[in-house]
Amino acid sequence: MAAENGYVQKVREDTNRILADLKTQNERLRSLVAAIDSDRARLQTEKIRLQEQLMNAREDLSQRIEEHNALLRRLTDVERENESVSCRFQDIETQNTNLANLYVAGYQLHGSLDRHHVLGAIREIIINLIGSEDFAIFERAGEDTLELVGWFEEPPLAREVRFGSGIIGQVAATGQAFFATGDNSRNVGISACVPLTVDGTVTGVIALFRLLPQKQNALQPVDEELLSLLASQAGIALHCTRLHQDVAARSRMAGV
Amino acid sequence: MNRKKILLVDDSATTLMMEQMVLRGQAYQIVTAKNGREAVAAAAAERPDLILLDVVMPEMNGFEACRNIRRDAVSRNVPIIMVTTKGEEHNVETGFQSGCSDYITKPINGAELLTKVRTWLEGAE
Repeated sequence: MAAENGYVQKVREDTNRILADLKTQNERLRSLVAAIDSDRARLQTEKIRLQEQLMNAREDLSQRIEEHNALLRRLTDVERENESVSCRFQDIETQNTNLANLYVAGYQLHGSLDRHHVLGAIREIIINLIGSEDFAIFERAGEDTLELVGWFEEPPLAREVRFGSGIIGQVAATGQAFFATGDNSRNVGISACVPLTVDGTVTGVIALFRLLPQKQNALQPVDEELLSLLASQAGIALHCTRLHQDVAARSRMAGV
Repeated sequence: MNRKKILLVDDSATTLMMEQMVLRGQAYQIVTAKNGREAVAAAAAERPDLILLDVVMPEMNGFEACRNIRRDAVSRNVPIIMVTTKGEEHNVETGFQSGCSDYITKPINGAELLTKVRTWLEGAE
């Protein structure tokens, strides 16, 4: 009986100890759960704060991307504007050169009544402003004949050309300028041919047989314009020298 | 401000006039010579900051004038731009062998001439 009581006592003690352990364990777990709950709440708050921050950052980012794109668009506009200003500047420089060419040509052509000087001026203008070192100047010598009066490099084979004969004759007959395009000049042997006119009447022709290498075988539209203007001015200048020669000769004959 | 002096050398009145017209608005002091011999003398006497030199000229051509200008201690380092109708490569080579610094071809393009003049004058500063 005493042994049985001892055993019961021991079981009771063991049970109490286990119960105490379980209580302690329970308490520890409770406090752990409480800590975890507290952590979770803190983390939840932190998460909300971070989500807000992320949202703000995203908004900020999209705003910055928008600003960046706007700046890129502005940059493209400014670059385009810059390019256009640069093109305009180049156009103005080209126009200045063309006007200077015209002024120089006019000044040289009308600066003298001496025939030799005027022919020299025409030569210089063709070489230095148009860009040809192989050309000829013909003047009307009769009703339908042109006579060679000036050239550079080699004189052309024909010293006289009849109106309507070949390109030079056709230009004289029609009064219409001829401008070769690219390789065409090699085939026909003439790069450009323009009539000299006074009051609509053809008084001569300027024929460019070959252009300088840097002109690459073809005159630009602006060169064609300059050559046509030169031809009209040259025609008048040469006509004036003839008139001057006539007046001088008549004065001499009249003994003035 | 010290105005830069440019010596223009060409036997063609048309080219001299054209060059002067292009350079006129740029506040440069312009002096001219009509052949190579005059150019050599002017380079020594006028002490230009830059020379625009034609190639085909009477009395002394541009290549010879260029060599003579380079021999003179006074004008040895002056930039010389050859202005020529002869744009073929061998003429350009001869120009550089004679001592020229650069070249442009006729017919003169005003914008090109101004750009080269400015570049060489600024480079010499």
